[in-house]
Amino acid sequence: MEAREFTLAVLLLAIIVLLSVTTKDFANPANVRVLLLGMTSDLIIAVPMGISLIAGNIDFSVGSTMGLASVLGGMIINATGNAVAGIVAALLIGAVLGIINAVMICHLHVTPLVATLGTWMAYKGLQKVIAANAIANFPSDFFALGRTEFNFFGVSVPISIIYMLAVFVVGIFVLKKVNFFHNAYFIGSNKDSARLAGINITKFTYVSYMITGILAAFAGMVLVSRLGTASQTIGSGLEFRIVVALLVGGLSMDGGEGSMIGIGMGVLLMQIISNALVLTGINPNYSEVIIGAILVLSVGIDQINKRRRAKARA
Amino acid sequence: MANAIELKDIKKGFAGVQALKGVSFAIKKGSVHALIGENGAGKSTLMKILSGAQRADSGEIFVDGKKADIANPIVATELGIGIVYQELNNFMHLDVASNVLSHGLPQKHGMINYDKMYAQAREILDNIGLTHISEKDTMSNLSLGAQQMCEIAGIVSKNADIVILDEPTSALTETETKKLFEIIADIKSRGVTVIYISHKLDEVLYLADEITVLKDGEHVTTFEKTPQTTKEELVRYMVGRDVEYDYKVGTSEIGEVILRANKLNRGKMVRDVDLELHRGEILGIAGLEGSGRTELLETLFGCYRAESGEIEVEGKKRTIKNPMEAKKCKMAYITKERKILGLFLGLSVNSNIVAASTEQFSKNGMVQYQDIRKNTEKYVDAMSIKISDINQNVMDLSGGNQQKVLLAMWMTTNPDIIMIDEPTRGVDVGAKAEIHALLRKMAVDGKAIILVSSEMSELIASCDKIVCMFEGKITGILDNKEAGEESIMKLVSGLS
Repeated sequence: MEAREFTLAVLLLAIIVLLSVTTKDFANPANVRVLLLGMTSDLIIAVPMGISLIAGNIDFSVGSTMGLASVLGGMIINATGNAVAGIVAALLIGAVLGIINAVMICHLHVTPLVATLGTWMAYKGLQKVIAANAIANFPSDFFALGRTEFNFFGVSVPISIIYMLAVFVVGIFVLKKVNFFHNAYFIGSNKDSARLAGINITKFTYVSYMITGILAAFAGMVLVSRLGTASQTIGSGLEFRIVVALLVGGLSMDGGEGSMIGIGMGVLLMQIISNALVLTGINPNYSEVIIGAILVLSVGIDQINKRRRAKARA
Repeated sequence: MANAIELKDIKKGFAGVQALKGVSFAIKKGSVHALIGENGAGKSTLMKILSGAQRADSGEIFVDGKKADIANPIVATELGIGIVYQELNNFMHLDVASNVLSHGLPQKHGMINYDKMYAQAREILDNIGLTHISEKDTMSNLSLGAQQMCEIAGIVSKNADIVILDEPTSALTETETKKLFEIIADIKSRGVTVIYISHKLDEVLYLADEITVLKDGEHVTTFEKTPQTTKEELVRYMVGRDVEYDYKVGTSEIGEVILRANKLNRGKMVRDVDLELHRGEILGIAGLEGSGRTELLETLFGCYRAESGEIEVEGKKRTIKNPMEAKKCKMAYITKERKILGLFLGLSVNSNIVAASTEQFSKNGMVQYQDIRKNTEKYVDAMSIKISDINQNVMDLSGGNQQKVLLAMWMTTNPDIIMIDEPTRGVDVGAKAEIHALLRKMAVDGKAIILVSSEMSELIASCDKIVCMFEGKITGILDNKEAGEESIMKLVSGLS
């Protein structure tokens, strides 16, 4: 385990113990359910987005992709009356939105941050136009996607949490084990060296943005199914939260480092902090202050450590 | 005549390499002083010390007879020293006037006075005859040569007493070069001292009043140029005493042709190159910086696509559009920019060695960590790479060990054709001999090797044949038996 993950794990554990002791509600099953349910969209998207970022490709458009794809998916469901058709269409739309990012990055040579900032705004705008009036009154079979509950030893587990765990486990597996995704480390560590080593960077960029788009759309459809409406605000602000989670989790904006466990812990930490503020009755707006501080501190401490190591070498 | 600059026992080392080993000489006021020497002789380092970009480890510098401590570029400017580096140092997005006057834009009440700025820039450009360049044009719209001339104009306009020009003509056209010579003559007549660094011996003989030769970080000689001074004489000084290699790598059996290039062209750096490489052969490429030797390797490996010409691998015509296809042709390219273009510094030794062969080490798309580790251990052992364990970061290794890791990375791909650029740059003597022996062993195993090096002694010691390049063209191919430092130096300087 990397030093960063270890620190993060200790920090998480400390916060969890502290909150369980000091508040009466934190360890309460109902609260745990709310907490986990609240992080499903974030983690489902953070997994592919993290892999992309390890290769040095940030995707800032995820929140808007999620919103636009799910709004369009909702429209298609209502137009056709067929939930499956709408869900499949939304996933395809997500794929296309992701591919648009890749085209700009690979062929127009726009830097990933700029390209996805552009699509972030554009997709969001389209979402707002399309969902000027919230889309609702879906056929009842659509609700199976997000409202199904499983019973595990008497505990009712929402299907969203199952999705999240499944994506996370697959993420751990592919990043570590599947050669194609594992190449992310080479690409992110040094793009030029990777090119000379004969690694297909273009293909990786396409596939990683496409999968990020698909999973963002999927998270969107699950959320719409749970909420019952597809509105202008689906996915808003999610990209910031995930980027922060990824950086706190040990990834770097330049790529080349990080792990799936770190990504998971980063997302979890973000979620616990917002949850803790609600439980302790602190003005929830402070969550942004705290999250911002954690981000700067964790990355700052990392940089100090790196410099110390560089100095020790010289 | 008084001395503009006097250097006493200047020493400077970089991470294990001694770039300057105690250099002393003087530069007369108002003269054009040429500084020559092979690549790595220490010319650029010395000039960076004079301009404050780097600091000497020890030694003294006297400017105008007074001891000077040139701690940074600002001090150098105050002392009247201006430098135009070999690499352009422009503000590409700004206009010509801002570039020319970048040392101090004219101001009024603390505000930039644009009218005055453009007027001044116009005057400077006109004064040195750059009437065709508009002061309002954006720098990036200009040709490389014009940019270089603007930079020179900027330095001249600073009224520097000492102007250092490091390879100023490498980006210039013939007309621009002529103009530059006029500028140099002009500022010299105004009492400015010019230090002129160049590989182009014709220019040196034309311009210089005095010539200083450096070799391997040491001062060889400083002498006045006379009409009797010849290029051959300069070459002899640059090559100097022979550095004998205390080992001699044997030869190996030369097999059939494995790689052939016909009339390969790419830009100015690769021109009509014909090349033949045999199995079991180590083919050396000699050339000065900017001769196109690295670009030739990059073109063969598909980093850049050739504009015309053919590449044949094992008798079959192949189009190599990118490194992925080169790898399929069983080619390997070990770059001299090992930190920037070769290695993954942030990753472990284990990851680096497998980097070019990840497909080979995966089964049904799954990474086979066990096999990867075994392969790494094999190479660490065989090449005696000194590491604490295979998960150590490559960043933490010495230059020699980094080079071995990069070699191991490409040997893992099991290539037939190995192209290696400056394999021993920044590598200590022991590791150097090991790397040479390793290359020869690969040749004995039937692989073919192209070795690019700035060190002629290295080429002579380890190559079967030496291809000499000058300005992108092959100027001659020498057999190991007939190759000497002088004959190589002549060919790579474009003298025939």
